[in-house]
Amino acid sequence: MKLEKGIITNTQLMFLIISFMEFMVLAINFVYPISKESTWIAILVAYALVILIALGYTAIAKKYPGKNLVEINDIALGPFIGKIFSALYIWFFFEYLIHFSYYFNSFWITYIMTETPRIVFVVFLMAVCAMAVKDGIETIARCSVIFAILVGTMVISIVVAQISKMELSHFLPILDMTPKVFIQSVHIILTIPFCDIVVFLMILPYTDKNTQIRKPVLLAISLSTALMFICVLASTAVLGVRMGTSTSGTFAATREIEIAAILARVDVLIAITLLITIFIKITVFYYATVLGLAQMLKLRSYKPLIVPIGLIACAISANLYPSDMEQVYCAQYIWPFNASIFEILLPAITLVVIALQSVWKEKGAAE
Amino acid sequence: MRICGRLLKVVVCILLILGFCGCWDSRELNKLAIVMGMGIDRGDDPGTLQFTAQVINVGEIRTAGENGGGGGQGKGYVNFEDTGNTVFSTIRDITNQSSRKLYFAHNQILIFGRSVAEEGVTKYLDFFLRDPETRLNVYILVAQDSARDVLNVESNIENIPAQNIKSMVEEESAFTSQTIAVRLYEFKDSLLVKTKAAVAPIVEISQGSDGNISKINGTAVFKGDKLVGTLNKTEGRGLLWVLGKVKSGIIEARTPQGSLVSMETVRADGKFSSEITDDGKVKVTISIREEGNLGEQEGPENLSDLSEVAYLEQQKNNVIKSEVMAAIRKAQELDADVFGFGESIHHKYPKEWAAMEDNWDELFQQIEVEVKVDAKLRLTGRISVPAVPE
Amino acid sequence: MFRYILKKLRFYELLKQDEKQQTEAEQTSKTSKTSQTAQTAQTAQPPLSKSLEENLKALQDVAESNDFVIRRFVFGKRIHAAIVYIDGLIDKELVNENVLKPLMRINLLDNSELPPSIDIDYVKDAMLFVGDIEAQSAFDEVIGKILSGDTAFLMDGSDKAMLISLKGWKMRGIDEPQTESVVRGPREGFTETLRINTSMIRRKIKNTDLKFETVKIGQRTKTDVCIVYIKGLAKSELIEEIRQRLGRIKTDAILESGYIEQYIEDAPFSIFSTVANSEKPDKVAAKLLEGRAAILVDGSPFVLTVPMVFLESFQSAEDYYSRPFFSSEIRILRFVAFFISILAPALYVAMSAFHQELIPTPLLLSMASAHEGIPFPAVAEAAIMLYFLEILREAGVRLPRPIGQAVSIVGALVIGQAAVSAGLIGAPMVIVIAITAVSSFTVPAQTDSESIIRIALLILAGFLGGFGIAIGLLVVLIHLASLRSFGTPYLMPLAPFSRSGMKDAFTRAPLWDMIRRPRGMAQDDIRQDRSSKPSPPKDDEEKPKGTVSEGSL
Repeated sequence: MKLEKGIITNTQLMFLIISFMEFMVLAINFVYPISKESTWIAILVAYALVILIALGYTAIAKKYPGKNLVEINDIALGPFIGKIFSALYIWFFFEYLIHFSYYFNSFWITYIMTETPRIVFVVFLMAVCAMAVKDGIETIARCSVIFAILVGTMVISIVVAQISKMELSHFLPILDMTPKVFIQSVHIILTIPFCDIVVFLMILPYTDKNTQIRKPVLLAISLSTALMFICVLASTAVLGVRMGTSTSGTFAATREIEIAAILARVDVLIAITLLITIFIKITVFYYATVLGLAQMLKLRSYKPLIVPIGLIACAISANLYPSDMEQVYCAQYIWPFNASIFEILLPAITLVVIALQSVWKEKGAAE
Repeated sequence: MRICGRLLKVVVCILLILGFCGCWDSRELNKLAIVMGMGIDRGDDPGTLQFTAQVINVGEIRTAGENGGGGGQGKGYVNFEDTGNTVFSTIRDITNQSSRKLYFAHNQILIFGRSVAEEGVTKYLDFFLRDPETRLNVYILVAQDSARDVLNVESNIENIPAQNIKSMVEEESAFTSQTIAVRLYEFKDSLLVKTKAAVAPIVEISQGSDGNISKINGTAVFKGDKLVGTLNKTEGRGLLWVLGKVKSGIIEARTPQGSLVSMETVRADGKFSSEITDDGKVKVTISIREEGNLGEQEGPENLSDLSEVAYLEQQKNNVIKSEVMAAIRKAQELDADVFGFGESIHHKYPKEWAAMEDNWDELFQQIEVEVKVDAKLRLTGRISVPAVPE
Repeated sequence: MFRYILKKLRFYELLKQDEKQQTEAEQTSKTSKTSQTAQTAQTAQPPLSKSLEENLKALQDVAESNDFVIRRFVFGKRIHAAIVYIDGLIDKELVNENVLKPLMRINLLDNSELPPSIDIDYVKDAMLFVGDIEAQSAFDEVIGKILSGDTAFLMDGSDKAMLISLKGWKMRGIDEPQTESVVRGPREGFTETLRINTSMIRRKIKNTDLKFETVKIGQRTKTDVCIVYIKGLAKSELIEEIRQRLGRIKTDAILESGYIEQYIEDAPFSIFSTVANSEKPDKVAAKLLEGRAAILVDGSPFVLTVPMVFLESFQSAEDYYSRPFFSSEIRILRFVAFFISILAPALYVAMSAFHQELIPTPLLLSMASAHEGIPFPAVAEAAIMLYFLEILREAGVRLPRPIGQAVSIVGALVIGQAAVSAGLIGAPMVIVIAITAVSSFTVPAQTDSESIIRIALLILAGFLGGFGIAIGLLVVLIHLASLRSFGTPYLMPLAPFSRSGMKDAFTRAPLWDMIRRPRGMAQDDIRQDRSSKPSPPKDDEEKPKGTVSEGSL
């Protein structure tokens, strides 16, 4: 029984994934203190890895076209284990929801509006996301087309505006760190910005060409990685040695743009761009949580769940960490391992089980 | 009725939300004290600092729209001064004197008094790096004596001394290039690198025709974060030649017949690369390219003659070379690597650098420098033959 | 405890009583309905009687007003007849010439030249000099047609009436529509009469596929409403949907097309209208040719077109009559003006109260000096000025013409200047509001939604600065993305992205390049061939006839 009756086209799916990943284009701050000037190399390595992992996700989705993650878990892994997996996934998406919401709030409070209490931002943002989730995946996809193009244009124009301040010498020294630190930064980049597209396993079945999803997904990942790469390159070129000290590298680089003394101090525009991208991200996670929960509880529609989950999310994410430093610490040292379980381990188990099942079926058919 | 009830509930919720919003961050324009310049000096008690903030007096400022009515009687600015232990606490203390909270986003300059510069500036910089309101592209200057006095010197053209000084710094680096214009992020970058010495222009107060005027004169050199010495105008320009930051300037030379000629530099480019020679010493090759025009000549020679041109170019080479060498010698004397030679070794030889970093001071003294200058004279202006030829 | 149980018991009892009453009420209503329907079936179509006097008496009883004229006459020397009409709705000269004259003239003929028996069909076929005539025997129909302006011809001995359509009332002539004036293009506008409007559309599209379907809506006003579409281009589901929605309207008055719009629109609670309207026949004809449908309402010069997409509000008819470059520039200008109109006050408030670092320093100084001594915070200033603007606009529309123009211009300037001098508002605010006002008239179709969004954004900006504005715009965008107008997504070429649609969205591609109709609206996508681009002849081709070559001059 389909909970979501909307259908989005493959192009819209691609734009949705692009705008989803664009948040990290501007906000990839956790990695800078660790892999200072060589972040761009870490991104390339992570990109190679995520292509493999994305192929795994799309393989799972293609095997069961038209079924979202909860249903796949039920079918592939059996009712009991499948339910446990689904519950874990839903909890994971919800966690991402509140973490990102907190992160965005702390960003805005640090840089732009320092005195407003957190709850205000959280409530307004969550209200807007709830409105979008209520209208369904079609609306979200339609909005994301516009956002993807808008944010892409903003990023490119910011990079272009920074050209006068770039210096190639800021890239050196390259890879001035131990391999362990480098692997840690690759791990962080892999899990936080890239592999959270596992949430799209909930959305992939609602496309119109269910079986040809590999191309839009891979294309979307490539495009947003390209954007991220350009952005990180530009920030490194501008900041150089200062990257590791700033709480947000891209932001610090943008604060110094000064064109003809009129277009100065344009960092508020970056903040608003971030708001747009975080809106998509939170909406997608919110939607996946609500949809999955409704599916597990066998409800007829996910709409009654929107407000309760939103309220809980507001309450938690306003007080998630006692201080911002704790979140940075968690993002650097704790979260990658937590996320790897859900993003890499669980899908890998699912894939293995699916492969084994098909092998058994073939054997059974052969016999 | 059902729809009406739902709508009513939504409207009431919205009104409630808006009611508890106190618009915390909203600051009306007439509650802001817009800071244009800041100065830090050493306070009377040891360990304290004296902070001066120059704030625009909006009611008195002469703006473009007003036709002179109601403006210009009083000063366009107000200086607030206070003493305290740390920068942040001193700034907040100023609210005891000022009716408005200071607003730093439009600050133009930050002046360190000489006493503070000699003590070490790092402890005062942290606030400006951390606070989200302050900007990293303020100009850093060092005052000859006290920053407070500099900020009190009025200028006849600009309304506000801070604006005056900022424009002077910008004009100076654009047209004479004898002092480097340093912004806070460049200053901080230099401080972050252990071996590089930070520099800042010096502003002093001198006697003008009616009253004091402030003048930019010389470059201050920091080692670590302490002021250790100055570069005069020639040495300052030498530094700029090496860094490639000369935008324009006048080079004086003498013709074979001995009369003075002024040549204007239109474009200049400077690069340096370093390498480690076989016996472990550092050799730096500086190559400077320069293009200029003939600006003024004293004597009656016909300087558009090609041999004269070649001679003048050679003279220019010599002048530039001598300025660069003067700068290097002074830097070696002060034991401060203002150029960044150390960093270029770091970039090129990262492994060897780990060993060399600690005794860079001695290595810097023994640097071999090779300066290659390529100066050209391109145009002679409107006239080719002087007004009173031979 | 005992009382509690008693209360519960009593509650259940009352519940049962309620249910019983409900079922009884339903039954009675059902029976009454059936009896009513039986009655109405009986009284639905009472026929006319054969006696003229009875018919006339019945008509007189129903009508009872003195513009209801009954003209009795005799023709054929012995046949009594009468015509019934409403004075003011008919063309009297035509009725006299073409109905009364031919009938009464046969009185002058000899008996031998008269046909032996004259019945009403013979009168209709051979004796009345009119074109539009129909027979009718139901009493209500006859009354209805008389009220619509027909003339009824009744004859003694016949239970049928002939309804002659010789309508002629005073109406406004065709002139330039006041709300949509163009520099280049036809200047005709629709009028209030349905027939004239349909004729104007017919003149633009001379095609048998152009279909008109007329229904009467409004129980007391019985207004004619006409659905127009091109069969084969418009989707049949769309027409079916329109028919269904029109059929669901059960009100007693339809006075203007706006009433119909509010009954059939997709999102009654949205501030954006999902039904477009226009006063110009060429615009409506163009929309019909794109596969849309138009709804004409008698009594209103505004014609509705469905479905509507958001970008239509930014397109004007003369975009297509001028060349593409200038039109594209003007269209981009309209988008910019739209954004200025909704964002300008909010941006000003956000920047001056929250994000002062965005303002260049000299501008900040002059804004700060203008703001000195103003008692209100920026939000209040902006809100006051906005409402003042709305009041001025409304007053300017209602004032009589000679005073109106002067007052609005003088009012705006003088009052603004005086308010600045009095220290109530700052000078930059006046400029911002003036720019807002002027920009809001650039996109006429969206002025009403703009003013609401503007105020909402202003309040949000006053509370939360840039965040508030971004949230407000997000909400508007989500709302727009979720709207559908008769099945078409509201953000059509943008949201389900269609490359051919983008040719007419923000810029206007040349006409020979727009080879497809807007996707999803029509059944047939291809509009024209690809090869019709005009281009100068290549060197080895024949020059076009009439080219003047250099040598011949």
